[in-house]
This record gives sequence, structure tokens and C-alpha cells, in this order.
Amino acid sequence: MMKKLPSRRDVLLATAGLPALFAARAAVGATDAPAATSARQSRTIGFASVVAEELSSPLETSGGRPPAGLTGILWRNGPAEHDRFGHRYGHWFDGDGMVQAFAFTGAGVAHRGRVLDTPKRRRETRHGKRVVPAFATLPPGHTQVLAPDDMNVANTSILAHAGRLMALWEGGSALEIDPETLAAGRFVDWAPSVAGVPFSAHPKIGRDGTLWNIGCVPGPRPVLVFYRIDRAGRLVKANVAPVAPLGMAHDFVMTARHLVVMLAPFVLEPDLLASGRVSFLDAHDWRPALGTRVLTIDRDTLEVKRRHELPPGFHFHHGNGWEEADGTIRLDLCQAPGPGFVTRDLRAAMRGEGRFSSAHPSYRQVVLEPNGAARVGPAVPGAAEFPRIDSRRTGIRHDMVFALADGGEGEGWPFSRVVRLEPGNGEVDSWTFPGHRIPEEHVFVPRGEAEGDGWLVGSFLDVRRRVTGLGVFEAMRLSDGPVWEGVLPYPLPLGLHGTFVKS
Amino acid sequence: MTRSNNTLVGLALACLALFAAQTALAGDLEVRLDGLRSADGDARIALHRRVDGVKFPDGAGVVAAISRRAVAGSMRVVFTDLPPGDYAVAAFHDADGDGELATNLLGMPTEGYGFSNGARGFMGPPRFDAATVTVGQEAGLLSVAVPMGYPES
Ligand SMILES: [Fe+2]
Repeated sequence: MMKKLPSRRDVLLATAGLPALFAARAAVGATDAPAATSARQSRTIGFASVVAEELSSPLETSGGRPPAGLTGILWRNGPAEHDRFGHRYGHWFDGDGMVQAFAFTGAGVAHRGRVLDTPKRRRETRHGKRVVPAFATLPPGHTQVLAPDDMNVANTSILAHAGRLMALWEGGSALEIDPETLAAGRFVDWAPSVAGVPFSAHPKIGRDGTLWNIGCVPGPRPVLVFYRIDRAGRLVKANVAPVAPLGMAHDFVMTARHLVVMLAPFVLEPDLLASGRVSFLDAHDWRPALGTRVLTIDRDTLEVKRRHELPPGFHFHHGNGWEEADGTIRLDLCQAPGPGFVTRDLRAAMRGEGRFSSAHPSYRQVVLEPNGAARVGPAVPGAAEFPRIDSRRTGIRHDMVFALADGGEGEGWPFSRVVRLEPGNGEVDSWTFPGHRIPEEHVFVPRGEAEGDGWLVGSFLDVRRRVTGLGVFEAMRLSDGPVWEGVLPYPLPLGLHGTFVKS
Repeated sequence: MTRSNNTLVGLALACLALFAAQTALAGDLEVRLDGLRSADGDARIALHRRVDGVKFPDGAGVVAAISRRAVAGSMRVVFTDLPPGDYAVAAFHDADGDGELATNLLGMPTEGYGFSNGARGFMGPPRFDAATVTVGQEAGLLSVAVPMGYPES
């Protein structure tokens, strides 16, 4: 592992010339690991802190070159520094973010990664200890948070828009990243009116390059913020809607005319948070009697237009949504019966504990009718998360969703399969990873015009060899297995979301 | 009492008066702003009294205000001749010099600001009580610190 970040040119050169060197290192790693690895050990590896703040290496492969035409960079983000200054966070979502770049050069794939040195992390460096409250952990003797960006760890997703690369979190501003050095830059100031206003991690980009996003502010005066940003990265309009009570609203759906935000009945108690006694997550309360509130927002005026009610459930992600001629909206939803997988299981994972106790999200389709009726379709059996679509279908009818799934037991993480679902029909294609490999989010990369004509690209953690790898699938033939894969000489912590930028 | 003694007493009284004039009279409050990030624009410091039915800080509670060119680091200002009672200080660094505390559409400040005693609120200003400094009947110069906080950028 190189300490200093090489330039892009260096990486490109290295990709062509150095695989043998890294193959040797990877082999050393393989002999260190036990032949059989328990679920507990595998979880421990996935939730260990990254081995260095900066990493760089080509991927070793025995399978020739990646498919012709698949060139560009898979950018990924995720919590990577779970431990610092002798303090370990208690939850997967707490850690300082790290951007990963997997560059497909045609000849091979090279990785670079760098921990994001946010103002929050720099403050802790100055103190020589963890002092800032995290999502679900309060370090001993923590400081008070004055503004959301004081605790921004930029650890959730990556956005490429209008020539800018950004690391996104949910509770604060987008953080600009230098695509050459991967260094953290400044918080993005779309306009003075929205400086420091939360900007969520799942913005939606329309075919003309217009970007929509939400911001979730579950404080003493809880509001949702809606953003419309033009293809040049300028704020066109922002609007604020009071919503009480309010908890986490992580994702939303964009259709041809609307934005849809679903609010799970897991809501923040601002007074409890203000007391400073509990973390942001622990200041939330599960109130199933609230049901799931659904807000439909006009995507031009950014005003709330309709409200629907659905039974209670907890979710993070949608895939896509679209509108039929009569105004009926259909959307993807990965929903669990309750928030236990977040409040309990993702903490247990950080402690390296064995089995999970909570039901995990599974895929279902939601139908919202213009007359106010709403229903949730039957769940596809088993757990499904990290839903992705052919992003060219964003806001219009789509016939497929790619996701991670478990073996069908509903246990959820670690997921073992990558699947293709048809909304309304269920699973139609899948690939099961070997037991020692944990897949992370896989993203669709288009090739031809038709929906699904392209590749599915994603990373995995190999807990036996203790390395992270990357695989490429033909998106419409997942069950054939990967058409190309390569591995790094080091493991990366299990991450969250990514985006593929074609070149 | 000899003449020389009277002279000494007179001199002493004069010195005392001079000393008092150069420092502060009873009921003066020195405010020290710490942590100013730049010398851009002005530091604006407002002295508030408690007003029933008015949430601190509000213009309705302001009894005195001082504006000075900002100084990077620390700077001091003195509010003089204050009747005894409870006060609180709210200050902001008007770096763009427009006379107002810049805020985003949520009302969150986007310029530096601070309160007496280093008081902080949760997603909003502190309560008056947390920022209170009491001017008593006794002579002397009271001093209070206002650490300035800035939104991250
Ligand atoms: Fe997400």
C-alpha cells in the first residue's frame, strides 16, 4: 500500500504494469486467514476500521480484461473510521466517511481510497480525541453541536453533478471532493439561503440534468426542505414544509411531475435530543399509531400537494417511481416491520455479535391513487436492500430493480445474493455469492439503449482472504455469475452507496 | 492635620478620581469577544435586558448596542453607566457588513455569533438565564467573555 496518493496518471500506469506485485501481497493475506471463517469473524472484518487513511492499488485478476466499453470510475462511500484515538463507535453509520474510486481503464481496474477529513474530523484531530456526537454514539465528554455540519461525517453516498464530485450525508451539507486527490474540500454552498441546510444522500437527476433533493430537519421546528438544482449546479428553487412529528426521511422518489416522501413512524423527540443525554438515533421513538405518512410534492412549485396514509413500517430506500396516465403513482419500497435492524442489529454488528434478531427490509411496490387511496403490495420473500435501477429510467416507468438479497430467510445482512426484481412480479434472476464473500451495493452501468442493457458492477468483502474485490455482471444474466472480477490486496470496511461515472 | 497632609489627601483623592475615570465607574460592563475568525466587516454587540413575553435575543430587549470594525482574534468593548440588574450579551460577526446576522432559510446563522458566558442553545439561541451577567450596587468593573462560534465551511 502506498502511503502517498499517486496522480491519476500514475494509477493508470500502475494498472497496466503492477498486478504481479499485488498478487503476491494478496497471497500473503490469504495464508494469514483461517480456512473457515465464522459469521462472527466475518462481521468483525467488515466492521473493522480501514487499514490506512489513504490506499491505492491495482486489482489483481485472473480473468483477463473487464468488458470492452466498461470504462469510467465506480465511486463509493461509507463509514470507514469506526475507531479513532482509542474510541470505537457503537453503530455502523457513525464512522468518518471514506471515498473509494475504482477506475476502469479498459486494461484493468485500479483502486484509490481516502478518508474524508471533514471539519468534524479536523476538530477531533485538534483535540486528540473523539469529541463530536455521532449518529448513534455520544463520545464521553462530547461537545455541543451548534449546527448540523458540526457533526457531518460525509459517509453515505457520492454525487457527481455539474462537473462536481460530492460526498453526501443526510444531516448536513454536501461535501465537495477533489476527483484527482480525493481530498475533502468545502461544503457545497448551492446558494446563501441554503448554506448549512441538510441535503440528503439520495438526490434524483432527471434526463435534462435537473437535480431534485430533500433535506430532513427533525429539530424543535421540524421541516422538510425541497431543492431543485439546474444542470449547471445552480439552485433554482428551495422550499420548506413544516412536518411534525418528523424523524429520518432518508430517500424519496421522483416521478414525471412529483416528488414522493414516505415518513416512517420513527420520529425524533427534540427535547430528548436537546437534553444531551442520548444520541440522535436514541432520541427517536417508534410510534406505529402514526402509520406511514406519504407526502406528494409538486416537483415544479415544491409545494406539498397530496397526503396518503399507509400502515406502519420502517424503510430507508426506494428504487424508482412513476406516474400512470390517470395520476396513479407506483413506487418501489424496501420496508421492514420496524426499525430494529437499525436500532439493534447494526449495533450488534459493531460488537461482532452472531445472529441478528430483527426482521429486515424486503421489497414491495406501493400504489398511490390520486383519490387518496394507497396500498402496499405483497413483499417479495426474504430480505432485499440497496435497490438500484437503470438510472435512465429515473421518474419514468421501469421494469426492473437490482438489489442485494439474503438467502430467503429474511435475516438480512450479511446479504449473500444480487438479484433482479420485476416490480409487481418479484425476483426473476439472481446470483449467490460463495459463503465467504459479502456483496455490497451493486450499480447498473448502461451499454445499449434498452432498459437493463448493460452491466451490474459492485464490490464484495472476501472474509477468507481478508480482501475487498469487485465484480462485473451482465445485468440481464446475473445467474451466469460475474464476467470479470478482481481483488485488492487489502480489505475495505463494508460501505454504503456508490455511483458509476462513465468516461 | 498639617497643610502637607491635606495636600496628600487632596492628591490621593485626585488620583482616585483620575483612576476611576480611566477605568470604569460602578455599573460598567466589559465584553470580551474571543475567537473572531477574521477582520472582515464589523463586530456587533448588543446588551439585552429581560423583557416579559419577549424571547431572548430580540430587539425589544436591547438597551445598548456597540458596533466596531472586527479584529481577528479577541477584542473588547465596554458598556458604561449601567443600572444594577441582570443583563445578557448577544454578539455576531457581521463579516459581510450588511448590518444583519446572515441566516439560511431555516433561520440558522451563517455568520459567527456568540452569547455572554459562552451560553449555547440547542438548534437556536440560549435562554436569557444561561447568558445572564448581574450588575450589582458595588463599584467596579465587571467583565464577561463572549466566545464566538462559526458555522463550519
Ligand atoms: Fe441510503
